[in-house]
Amino acid sequence: MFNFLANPARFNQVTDRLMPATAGLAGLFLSIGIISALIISPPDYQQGDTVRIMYVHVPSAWMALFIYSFIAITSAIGLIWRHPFAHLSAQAAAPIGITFTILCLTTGSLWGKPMWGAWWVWDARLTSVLFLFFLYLGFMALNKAFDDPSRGEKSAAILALVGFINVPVIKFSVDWWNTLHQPASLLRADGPAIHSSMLTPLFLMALGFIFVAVCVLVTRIKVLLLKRRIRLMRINGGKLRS
Amino acid sequence: MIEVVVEFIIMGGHAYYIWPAYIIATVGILGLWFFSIRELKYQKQILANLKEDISQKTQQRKCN
Repeated sequence: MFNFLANPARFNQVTDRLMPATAGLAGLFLSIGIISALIISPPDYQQGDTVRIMYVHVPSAWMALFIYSFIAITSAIGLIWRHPFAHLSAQAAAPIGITFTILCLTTGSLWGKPMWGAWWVWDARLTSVLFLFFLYLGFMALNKAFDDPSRGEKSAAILALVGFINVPVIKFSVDWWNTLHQPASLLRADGPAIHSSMLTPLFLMALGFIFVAVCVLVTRIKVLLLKRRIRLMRINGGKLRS
Repeated sequence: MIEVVVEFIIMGGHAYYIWPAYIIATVGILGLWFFSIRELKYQKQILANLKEDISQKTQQRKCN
């Protein structure tokens, strides 16, 4: 897959064809998802209408974890097989991941205040997600910390791999420690604990978020490919002039 | 009809929390998309300028 798409011309050709459909699906799922979340889905018997925050909070949290896992996998590919496109993909995904982490933290805070009476508590789930935010920041900072881009890519990739330990910690934090945050409602051994009237908008919003993330990822990879090309042209131009 | 709309906006007394959550999510996602597309256009422009610059210099060299 990486070898097939590593050619910039082929990458642009494939993604240019798929982009309109992906963007259309993102718009479609988000539109239906928002209508279902705000109008069709019922209020919760305990939380009332505040449960509607779940439809933006939970998909944001999933995306934050999913994108970090993607970064860790592509970083591993970049380190093991020295594939420049892998590092590039990881670098392109980081701003998307950090945006979803910020969305997860802020919407969670807005949900926490009416439910727990506090905007923030230092419980295991919230603290580990905050740590994820700092991992994203560190990854992005390390990528730009060196004059030689390859050194930055390698350092950031190592951080991404070390930080991957935080992903299962986030997932199981609600089981391993006594937290104010509720335990898992979907990925449980005895099946989801959410009624289908709430599950449907949740999945629609999650699909919308996934398609948006794909569109933005493709755009950002194109930006980085162009930046690399411009850098190389400037270096070669400089050599010609000297 | 108006009562239904007002009830929807009030969100059971939790409008202060629900609407900001949706506004922040919408702004965050659309902002991410918008800035990425803007950056792509900007880089394409830089590349086009650079290509033009290089072709002009190549022509000048040929003339010299």
